[in-house]
Amino acid sequence: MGNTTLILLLAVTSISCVLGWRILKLNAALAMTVDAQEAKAQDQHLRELLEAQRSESEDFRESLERQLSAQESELARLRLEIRPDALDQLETIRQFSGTALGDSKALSHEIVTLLDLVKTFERWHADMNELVIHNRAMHEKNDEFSSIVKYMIIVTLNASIEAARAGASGRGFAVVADEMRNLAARAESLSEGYRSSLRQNDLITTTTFQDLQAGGKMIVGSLTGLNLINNKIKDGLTF
Amino acid sequence: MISNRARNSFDQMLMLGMKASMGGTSPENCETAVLADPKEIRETTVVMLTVASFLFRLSVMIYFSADDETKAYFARLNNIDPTEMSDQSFLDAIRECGNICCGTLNRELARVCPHVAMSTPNLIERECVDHLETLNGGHLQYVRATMEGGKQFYASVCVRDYADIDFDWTMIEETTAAGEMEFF
Repeated sequence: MGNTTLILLLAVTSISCVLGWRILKLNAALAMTVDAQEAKAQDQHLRELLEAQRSESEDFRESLERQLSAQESELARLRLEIRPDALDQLETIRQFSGTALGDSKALSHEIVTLLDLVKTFERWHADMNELVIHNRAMHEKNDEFSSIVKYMIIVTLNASIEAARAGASGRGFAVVADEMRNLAARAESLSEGYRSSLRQNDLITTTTFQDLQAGGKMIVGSLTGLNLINNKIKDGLTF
Repeated sequence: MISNRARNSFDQMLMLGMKASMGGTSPENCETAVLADPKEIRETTVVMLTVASFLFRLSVMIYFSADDETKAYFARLNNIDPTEMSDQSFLDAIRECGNICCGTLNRELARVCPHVAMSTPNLIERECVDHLETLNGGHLQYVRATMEGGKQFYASVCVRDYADIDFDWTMIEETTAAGEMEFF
């Protein structure tokens, strides 16, 4: 009896345990079923959203394609309208550039030729040097003439003194001596005037000489500057 | 015709040139003034240079005598012993002085005139310059420079104008900070 009861109790306990375990398992399965339903609902919602986005993107793409197509059409139309004018203008510019480049090269050649003016200036320089040397020689001759005249004055003065000593017999000689002294005085005055003229000549010659020299440098400097500007224009037209 | 401000500029440039050429290491101690009576000038020789432009011709004349005092001054200016200065080296120093003086005018004129150039120096007798009036210059001015120590030099500028001349020139004070390098 006791054993039977014990066996029964063990059986009941075992059955209770099995039933409890089954209940727990069923509960877990039930919970999983609920989560799957929610996931399915969310999945459905996401699919709908995705579909809406895809539809919107498709609309946007179609809109962009329409705009692109319109702009390409406009561009093609503009090309057709503008290109002939632009090409004409480009050709005109090319022709002008070619002419300008040719002119610039010709100008460059002329400037280089003109720079040979230096030789002319050198010639003038040499001529003016000759003139200065000639002036100096004239100074020396005039100084010698002046020296002679001064000596003549002394001689005529001595002649006058000797004529006075000779008394009445020397009266005629005194007249000649006086006349000679007058002539010597005039010659001295002339020599002084000539010296003054030579000095004025020196000033004019030096001024002219220096003006030619400085003016020559100025012209060569200007031509060199002009050549540099022209070379820049030429370089600009070449590229 | 030369405007008054152009005349004044020519005079100021000459004074600047005298300071630069004869002032040595202390040009600021060189006093310059317009000379009222050119008869004050007793020197015997003149070094002459010309600055040429399309519009005018400017002649610069510096007066000097080959006396001991002048030779000693130029010897000191060129760091030479006065006893070792030959007549030729003295005349070379005088010419160089003219070059620096006229070069200063040339440089300053280039700031206001597009094309100018200067000649080389020539020596002429003092009496030649008595005929300056015959050059028909539109402007003639005499200047005296008194150096440190009292030595006096004279110079004149004669401008022959071939067109109306007027320009706006202002003197640029030279800086004393020489020898400094600028890095860019």
